[in-house]
Amino acid sequence: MRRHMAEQTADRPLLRRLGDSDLFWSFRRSPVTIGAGAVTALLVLGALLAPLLAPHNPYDLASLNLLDARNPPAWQEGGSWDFPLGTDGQGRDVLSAILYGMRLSLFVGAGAVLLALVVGVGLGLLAGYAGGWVDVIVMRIADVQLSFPAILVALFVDGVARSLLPRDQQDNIALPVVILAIASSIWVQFARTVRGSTLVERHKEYVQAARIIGVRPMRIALGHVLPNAMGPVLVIATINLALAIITEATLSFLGIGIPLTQPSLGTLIRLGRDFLLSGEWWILLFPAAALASLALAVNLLGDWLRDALNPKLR
Amino acid sequence: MAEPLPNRRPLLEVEHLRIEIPTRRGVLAAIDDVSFSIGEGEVLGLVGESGAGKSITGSAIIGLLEPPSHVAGGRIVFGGYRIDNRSPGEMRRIRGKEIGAIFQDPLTSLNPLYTVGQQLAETVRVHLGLDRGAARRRAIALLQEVGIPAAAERVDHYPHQFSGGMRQRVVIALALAANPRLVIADEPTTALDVSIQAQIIALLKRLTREHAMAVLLVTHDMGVIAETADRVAVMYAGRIAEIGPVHEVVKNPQHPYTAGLMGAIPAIGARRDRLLQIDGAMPRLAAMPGGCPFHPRCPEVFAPCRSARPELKPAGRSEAACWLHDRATAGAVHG
Amino acid sequence: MAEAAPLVEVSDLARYFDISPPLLNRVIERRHRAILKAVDGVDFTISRGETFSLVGESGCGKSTVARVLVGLYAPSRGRVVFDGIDIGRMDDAARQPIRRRIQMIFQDPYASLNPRWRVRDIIAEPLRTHRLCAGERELDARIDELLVKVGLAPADGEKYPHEFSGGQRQRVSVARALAGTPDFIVCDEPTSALDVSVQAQILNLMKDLQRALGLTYLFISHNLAVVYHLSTRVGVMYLGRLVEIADTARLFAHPLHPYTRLLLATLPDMSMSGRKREPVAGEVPNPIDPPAGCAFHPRCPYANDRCRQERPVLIEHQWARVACHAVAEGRLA
Repeated sequence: MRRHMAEQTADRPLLRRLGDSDLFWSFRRSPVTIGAGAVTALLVLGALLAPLLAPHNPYDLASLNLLDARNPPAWQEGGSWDFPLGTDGQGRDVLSAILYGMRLSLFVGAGAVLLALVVGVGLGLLAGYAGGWVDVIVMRIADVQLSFPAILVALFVDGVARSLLPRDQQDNIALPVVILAIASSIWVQFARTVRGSTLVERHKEYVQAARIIGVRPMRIALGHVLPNAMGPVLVIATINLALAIITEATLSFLGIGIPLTQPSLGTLIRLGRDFLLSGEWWILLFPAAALASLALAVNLLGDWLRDALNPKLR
Repeated sequence: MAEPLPNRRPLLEVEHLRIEIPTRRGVLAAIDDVSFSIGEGEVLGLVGESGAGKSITGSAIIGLLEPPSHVAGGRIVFGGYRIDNRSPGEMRRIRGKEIGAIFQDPLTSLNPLYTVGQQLAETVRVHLGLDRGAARRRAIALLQEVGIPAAAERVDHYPHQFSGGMRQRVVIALALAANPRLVIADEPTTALDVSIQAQIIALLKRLTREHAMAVLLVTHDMGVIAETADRVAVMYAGRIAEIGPVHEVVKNPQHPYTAGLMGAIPAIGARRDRLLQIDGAMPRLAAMPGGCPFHPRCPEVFAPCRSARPELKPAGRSEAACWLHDRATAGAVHG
Repeated sequence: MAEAAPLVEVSDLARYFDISPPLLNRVIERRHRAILKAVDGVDFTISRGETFSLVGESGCGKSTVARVLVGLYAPSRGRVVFDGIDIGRMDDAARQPIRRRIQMIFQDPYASLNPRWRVRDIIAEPLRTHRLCAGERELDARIDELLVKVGLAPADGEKYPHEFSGGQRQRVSVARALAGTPDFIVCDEPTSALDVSVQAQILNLMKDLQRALGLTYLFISHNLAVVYHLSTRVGVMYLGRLVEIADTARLFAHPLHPYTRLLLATLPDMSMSGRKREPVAGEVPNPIDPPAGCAFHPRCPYANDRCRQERPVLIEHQWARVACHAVAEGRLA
């Protein structure tokens, strides 16, 4: 009588399996991670729902009233709950500006990471699987890219784009250019990691089995190797999200990122700097705090993910 | 027998040893009530398949259990003194001096950054307190003893300059350096070519005889046991299924698992069509069946096997933990 | 059986690997090119329905021979003829139909299945690649049939490899190899990583399948007992060369080549007859720098000057083919 001793795991619902998994357990165990997760969720939700949550629309120039300018936060004298965190030099509600600004920051950050991921993973897979000259060329390009600091690369791409485009179109293109600029400084990490994993997986026997069966190289690379090389990619993506957000803020702070009409957190910080010495501290502090919290929370999540997914630490 | 052969005083006594591993799904028992002893100068084989618990037994004796695994019950007595509850510092002194170890992979047992001479000399100086000159002379002597040609030159070579078989000889020399009374050898020949295995086994046998060392030989390879051991203990799912003189266990296995194991090994001579097959696989620690752990796969299972756990009882000229050999108690247990 | 044309015919097969240091190192450090002659001229045939084994220790080249036969490497020299077709240097397009007919089972049950794929997709891959099933339903039916054939259950198709034990994974590998109804399966140490009792299950399964489906096996192993149990004919390899080929029963009863005798002498004595093993000294030399003449001469008790200079070729001798001067000259008992 043949009996097979296989487990009965495939039947349980997905949510229960996720909740029961090692990953979620390690999440629950670390209060820091839970805190970071909560903050991230809060900020992301706030950013996504900005049109619903924000008391005002900071981009609507018509609704701004100079008389409302430089109001302190609501709990201080002179402030009102109409503008809970105060207003800036042009009468924009700081809270609304932060919510919309975070939205923009997240959009740019996530967009840059996504672009960098697609390009980086693709090139890394190509270099690792094809080997030979392709590998050499891609890796030398990556090395050159790495030798430049991220901001410099972003500045360069931004500058080139601006010089190529006529003035009136520059504002429209600003967003994609910034995303491209940031992505070009991040893709190398993805490429390197995926290339390394590809080199390892390529020699494993399940790849050889696929070759023996007669599966085409492209299908082997995408169907067999890629899923196994993606492990570290999630961690890199999360950690780089924080970096991308800060890079975008830096670019905006330097005045070459998003145009003034759609202020991101970086722009708000730049604007707020001017008002610090004259005593309107809230214009700088709250956007800066929002930026710092977002970056820190995402970074901590990335740390946890990296440790949780590392099979050697389990 | 769980007792050493007559004429040998017991050197190592393991009594009701229990090793537990706490996991987030509960506490697992890697070893569950294992008892045996080794006499001076005797070779005891510990044989079993993967997951049976033989390696972890060896690690426990030498004090190298990886946390969170720990000894949760029973005792280990060496030369009359209890050693399972010693501090790490005390175990360090015992390791190497009284108990030596040979592990499976010679590549990782030796430090690639030091010459073999340095590694041998270090062990010798720590445990025997010799000065540098004497230590070096002893290192060369040890290399000669394990059959490494041109020992005086090769003492200054690095591990990567040796071939696999030669490296394993160096590992054996390291284990023997301080003249231990007991050596734990965990799969010493598995990573080697077949022809080299024979050489290493012959070397081990010669050395143990000459130094009157006891050996706990942990392996899954019954052939190595048949060649080398005086007695053998067959482990299954963290317990000893059968223990006895190697002649007896190999030719007249008393436990159905041992019989299945011996029947599953292809042998040269009579050509068989099918090998004896035990369906299923060893249960995982988290899914241990009740009663006798082998009962779901046993061709001779009957009533008491499912509910009560058999103890080691005399069976033929060995001992076996099987209700077939303990019908008297079996009847009482199950009614 | 010897009358019909053999299914596989290998002539003077060689496979070299260039393991030279990079150009820069060679120029600066004055190092030489190094060529690893993994396989250096082997000839053998395999008849339909038989199990031919290649045995030898590390560095003998048996795994490389296996990989040339399944098309992972191209031969550096020599011919490989499968069912009358020269497959040694075929291009990919021409090779496709051949690939369906030659399959491989690997040693490591953990690395030979893609950990991210479900078992049913792993088994379906040959069927999809060669378009052997007309639709999803036919595909599913075939997968279920294969799972049952190797001793698993249809429900196991939904699981991932890590949910199975080593022995069960090898069964999945076998099912995958059988999916395209191949004629010839190359087995590279399929049971070396398995426990003894699981090995017995897999070996029995392989034998049953061979009988039921008329398969031909090339079985690579270093375990002589398993080879004895499974094969019809055996080839012994040493440092990239074949030293002896004979029927299993004859080879084990009367080994001719000194290396074959050495290998058999190292077998443990499970019958507890008390026979003493006399291990021969020495180890397998570095394959990058093999000895001149006969590769075995440094360890051979019968080596003479001719052995040190002239490489022996495989010649018919009694019931076997042996590459040994001592045997050919009648110096060996």
